[in-house]
Amino acid sequence: MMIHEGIDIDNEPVEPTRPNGLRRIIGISLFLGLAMSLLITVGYFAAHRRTLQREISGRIEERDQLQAITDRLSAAESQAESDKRIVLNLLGLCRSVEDIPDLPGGRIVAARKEAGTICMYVPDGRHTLEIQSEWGPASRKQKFASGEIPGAAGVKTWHVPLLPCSGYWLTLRADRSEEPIQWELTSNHSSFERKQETLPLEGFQYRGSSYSVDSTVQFPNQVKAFLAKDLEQASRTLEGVRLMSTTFNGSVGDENYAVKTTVRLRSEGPACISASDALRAFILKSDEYLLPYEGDGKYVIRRAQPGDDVMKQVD
Amino acid sequence: MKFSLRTLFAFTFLVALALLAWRMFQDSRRDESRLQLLNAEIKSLEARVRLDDPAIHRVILSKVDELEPLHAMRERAVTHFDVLQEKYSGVEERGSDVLSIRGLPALRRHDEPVRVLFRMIVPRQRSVWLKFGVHQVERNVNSSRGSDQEDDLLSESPFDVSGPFEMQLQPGDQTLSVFAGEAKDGSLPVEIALNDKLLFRSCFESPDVTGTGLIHISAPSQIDFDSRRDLPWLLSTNINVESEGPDTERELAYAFSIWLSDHSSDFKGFPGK
Repeated sequence: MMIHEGIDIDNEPVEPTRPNGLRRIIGISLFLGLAMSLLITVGYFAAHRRTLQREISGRIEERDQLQAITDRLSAAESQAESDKRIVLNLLGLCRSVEDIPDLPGGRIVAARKEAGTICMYVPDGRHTLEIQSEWGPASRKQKFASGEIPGAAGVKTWHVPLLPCSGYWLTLRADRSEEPIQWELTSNHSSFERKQETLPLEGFQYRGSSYSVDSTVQFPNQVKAFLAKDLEQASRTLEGVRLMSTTFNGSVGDENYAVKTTVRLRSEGPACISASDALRAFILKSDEYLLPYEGDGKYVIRRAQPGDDVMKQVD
Repeated sequence: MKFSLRTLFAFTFLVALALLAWRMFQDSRRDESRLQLLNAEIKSLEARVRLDDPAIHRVILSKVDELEPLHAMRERAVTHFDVLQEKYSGVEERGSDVLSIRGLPALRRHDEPVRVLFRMIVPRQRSVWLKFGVHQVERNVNSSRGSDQEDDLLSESPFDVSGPFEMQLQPGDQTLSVFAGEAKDGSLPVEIALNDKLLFRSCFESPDVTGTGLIHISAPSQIDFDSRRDLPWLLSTNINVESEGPDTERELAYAFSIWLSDHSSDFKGFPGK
């Protein structure tokens, strides 16, 4: 009888079988192979997750820092207009110069009161109030126009040094009683003496007026500009902050006359623009007129020097 | 087929390992999604603060330096307002038949119209009636009214409650507050309160309502009304609506007025809340 593995050729065929040892080896190998593969997979994913977790932690920190910046920015932006409005509203509620409070923030704050009157707060620093009047004949057509007086017959400019961190009350007066045009300046600073001046224009018969008052909250010498041409202009002339412009219309004798008065606050130091305006200047690539940022939320405008290449290009 | 206990254990072990691997795979995928989300968030925030351009980024950061001090200025203004309010709110009693009234300063703290406030000393020996009525006025014309002008009052109008209403004021110190809010979604709210008690709340309902025009007596300091002097009209608020007609055309607009009177007109009482 020939015996072949698993087959009894003489008798009925039997299931082919492997020896138990070989089967066990195959089984164990398969098990170990599979287990090893799975362990390697688990190890790979564990290492991958550790890397991801580290990366996520770093990104969360980065995101939180950026979020904190944008949150501060959004809060400041959304509050700013309302903050300014409340400060101006308060100044509007002041009924005398003594009512003007000390305001932090290093800004000039000016609000219109009744016609011809403004109240203002000036911050720390050296400031001079400039009141400039010019007068002359004006045609009936011109008298209500922009206030430009062709061929001014007279000009008078007053410069009043102001004390810092104080409130001021300025009134320009003209009425139909043939009293001369006057201005009066008072302060809530005990060392500031009341100033009153009269326009040297005899015989002016007042008939009406127009006022333009800039209720404002701004830095000393701040220019509201971001276009290259405005910044270029500001780099050449220091205009200060315009507070009020009035035109009194009337007559001297039989001739129509107009008196235009402009009130400015000139402060020591260079012209500047706010960071908000600087952002527009940077976006519009007109930032070459700005000096590097030095703080306080404003950018100083570079003074034009003779032979300045940048200025020449613009010219 | 037979399984030995050992085979079963091995199989279970493999299945557990496979499940663990699957779980780790799922967690990795979740972490990857989270990372992607964070990256997108960071990219959007970077764009907001312009990290792509260091110069502009620096200017954006400097805006915070510009704007934050304004908040300290506002805080100072709000604190100082209390001083002004105290200073300009005083009303003295001037006699048993004298009504004294003074307009109180009000600070507009929010983006809504300011409340108009009147402080009154109501005399003991005089009847003082507070009245409210809706009427019509010429469009874009703000004018005062006589306190006894009651013949044109409306009982129906686009206000959901039109009145007219009245109440007799109790003697003593009273503060009247009148508020006409901003038009929103075709509705403009109006509130009248005496001291802390709400007398009346209504809404002007019209798809074309745009806002209000207010005129009131000017009383920066105390005004006294003795028995020889008629009690005053206090305020009128015109309700502005968009009009398609030319401005020159005379059109009527709705308005409400509040006034004081020595006598009752048999109006209904204020409805309260």
